[in-house]
Amino acid sequence: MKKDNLLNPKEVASLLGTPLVTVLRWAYQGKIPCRLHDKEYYFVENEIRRWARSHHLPLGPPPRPAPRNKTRVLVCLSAALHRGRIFFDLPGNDIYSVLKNAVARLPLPSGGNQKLLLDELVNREEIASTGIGRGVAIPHPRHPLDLKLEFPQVSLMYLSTPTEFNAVDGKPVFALFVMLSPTTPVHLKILSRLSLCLQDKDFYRLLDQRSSQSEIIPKVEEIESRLQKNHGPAADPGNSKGRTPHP
Amino acid sequence: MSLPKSGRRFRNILINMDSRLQMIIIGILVGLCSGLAAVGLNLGLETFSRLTERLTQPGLIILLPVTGLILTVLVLKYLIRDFGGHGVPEVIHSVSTRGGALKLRSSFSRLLGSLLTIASGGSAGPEAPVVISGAAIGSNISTYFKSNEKIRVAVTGSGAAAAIAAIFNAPVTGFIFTMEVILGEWAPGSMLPVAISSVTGTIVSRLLKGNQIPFVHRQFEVNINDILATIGLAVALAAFSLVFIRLLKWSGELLSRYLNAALLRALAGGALVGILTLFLPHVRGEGYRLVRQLISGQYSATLLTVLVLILAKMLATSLTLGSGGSGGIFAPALVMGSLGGLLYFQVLTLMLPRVSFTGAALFSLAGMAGMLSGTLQAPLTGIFLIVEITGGYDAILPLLLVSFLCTTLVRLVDEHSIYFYDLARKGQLLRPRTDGRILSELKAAELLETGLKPVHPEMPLKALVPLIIQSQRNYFPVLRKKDRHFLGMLYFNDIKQYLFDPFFLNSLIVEEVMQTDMPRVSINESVRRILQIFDHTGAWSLPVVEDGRFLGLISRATILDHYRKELKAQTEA
Repeated sequence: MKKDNLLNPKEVASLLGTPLVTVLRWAYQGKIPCRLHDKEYYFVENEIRRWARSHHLPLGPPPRPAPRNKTRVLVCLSAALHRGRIFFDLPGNDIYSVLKNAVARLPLPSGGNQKLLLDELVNREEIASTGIGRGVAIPHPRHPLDLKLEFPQVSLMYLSTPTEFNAVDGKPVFALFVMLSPTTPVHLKILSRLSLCLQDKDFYRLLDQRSSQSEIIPKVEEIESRLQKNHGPAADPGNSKGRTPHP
Repeated sequence: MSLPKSGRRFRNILINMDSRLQMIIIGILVGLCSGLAAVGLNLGLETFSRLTERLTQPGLIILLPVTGLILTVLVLKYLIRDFGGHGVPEVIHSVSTRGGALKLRSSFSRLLGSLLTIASGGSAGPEAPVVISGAAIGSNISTYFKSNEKIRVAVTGSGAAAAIAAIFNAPVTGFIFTMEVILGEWAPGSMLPVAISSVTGTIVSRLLKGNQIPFVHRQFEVNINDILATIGLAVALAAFSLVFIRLLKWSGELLSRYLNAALLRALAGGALVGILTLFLPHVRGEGYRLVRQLISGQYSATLLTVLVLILAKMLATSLTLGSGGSGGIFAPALVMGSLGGLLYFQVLTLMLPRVSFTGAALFSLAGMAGMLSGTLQAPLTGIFLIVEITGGYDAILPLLLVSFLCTTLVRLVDEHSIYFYDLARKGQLLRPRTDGRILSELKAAELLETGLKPVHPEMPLKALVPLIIQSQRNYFPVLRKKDRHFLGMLYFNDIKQYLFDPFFLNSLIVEEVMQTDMPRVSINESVRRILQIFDHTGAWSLPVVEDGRFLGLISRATILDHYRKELKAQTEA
């Protein structure tokens, strides 16, 4: 015969996602099946599961917002930039031609739909310019497209001639960061890291000098490592380790 | 030495037994004890009443109830330290809020009290005292066997059922009374011990007193006229019930308003009951002899006498119970009902001399059922009691009609029955599966949200930004830095307008934007009260503060979450 798995009140509380006080009260009131031994309550796991099912009570702790630890490994701007690569002398003299040439160069996984991607990028620019000022634009699709991406990728493209992009500060754009992410949360995290880099004076200077991969990526790595050292994981929004019983 | 040892072993075996088996065994035990208590009171009353009825001098007739009531008050209030009254609300209260816990002394105090009150000529019934005794016996037996509250509630109800079953020799009535009045729900889980106790109590009563039917009647041939006539009877009885309920409430209030000392009240009440008895001897005691005469057709009186007798009985009962006597309204209601039936029959034959009716006895039976249903608002108890104590099923049609009609009519005027009235007034009427009951089970400590990030009043807004980013919640308790004394709450909503302005970000401090005037609740506050505060203030969350220490937060969302779980846990699968 299979041996019954015994639980203490604390384990039942976490199984049912209720406070310990509630479990003890239920036991005392006889609402939940339990045994009394030496003034201590103990519970049989199968009985508790059956009881919860028959009373339509959910089992397990309350669901947490999202498994954040998994995405944390993936969210790394330097790696994304490494995957997206850096391109020089992107031709074009208006938003459409620039984007069209950019999409043509993008390292997309086989099966990625270039036509769809271009449409989405143009569509996004029509809603609001991604020119975030100081000659930088960050074209990206509105939704994560079915590009069969496993990881986010960011491609830095220097324009051969600075182009009018309807940027917030009105300045022509000389550098594009084309951002493709598998999910929206990942996109937001990559974006927040990119914004952090752009605030860094040395990084902007490298960008301004049209520096190559060998200079840009180490700089990004440096900024990202500083981020984790200085602020700890807390400074990265959405990486809090706080308990979330009631989101 | 071997007896206590085996007793302890029996107890341990019972404690670890399957709960259903445990309930059966405890149910039998409770039925035995409770049945014995009921039969004991019954025999004691018969013996003492026979003695006191021989005393017929007018002075003694007045003096007897005075002595009886004073003795009752002395014994109950000063010797045993329990309360007077009929005690059924106490059982209902215990079953609905205290998991069926009752004092051990309640198992005999009312027996003694009602013996003194009724044997000395006070007008009251022995049923409510045996109900509370039986319930207290059940409660204490199940506490001894460490039963959980669910079992204890069922067993407490079983004690009451056995008591009613034993005193009337009526097992079904015992069962139905417990389900309808005491427990207030027909839960399959508690029916088993209640039924077993009812059966055991009845067996005890039959073994000791014989299988006698209290009120034997002749067979009826109920015709359509009778059935139609019962509709009018129901109206009359509903009116009587309402008058009786009011008299009961007022007598207690009036007596305690004008007479402060409990003994003085007993003196006055006893004297008044004595004077009533002097003129109308039928009001004394529980009055079963009168009922017996009525339904066997041996009693006859003029219309006016019957009406006066009904009112006198109401008054005498109200005075007896209002002045501290111990006893119930079961028996008086039966007396009034049977008299009311007779009165109605007399009026009917006077007005419709050509129509044939079965007889006064049938109307007396229907009257008893109607009056009981009306005053207790328990129609099923009324019907089955009459069917069982008269040993006849032939009157079931008028009984059914009059009981439900009367209950409904009384309920039109009075929302709560006489048993629930006091509880409802104190907000303690918590019937199973009602909102109030679920809220009463939840405790503030279970709803507490902890793990909030505290802030200090001197913190600049800028220092809050990382906290806001980290926190899953939109509120922060503000604690004094040196002793962590709770000062107020900081709500994200209040500060978000400043967060994006570098000027405010650097210049504002927490103290300037926190809220300090929100209500705080104590950890011991009832959830019902907390919800009222939510409703009054429109707040979404309230800080729980004890002696200046911040314990956590209670929010509406958490209450909903726990409320639903509690509701699900309470529902029998």
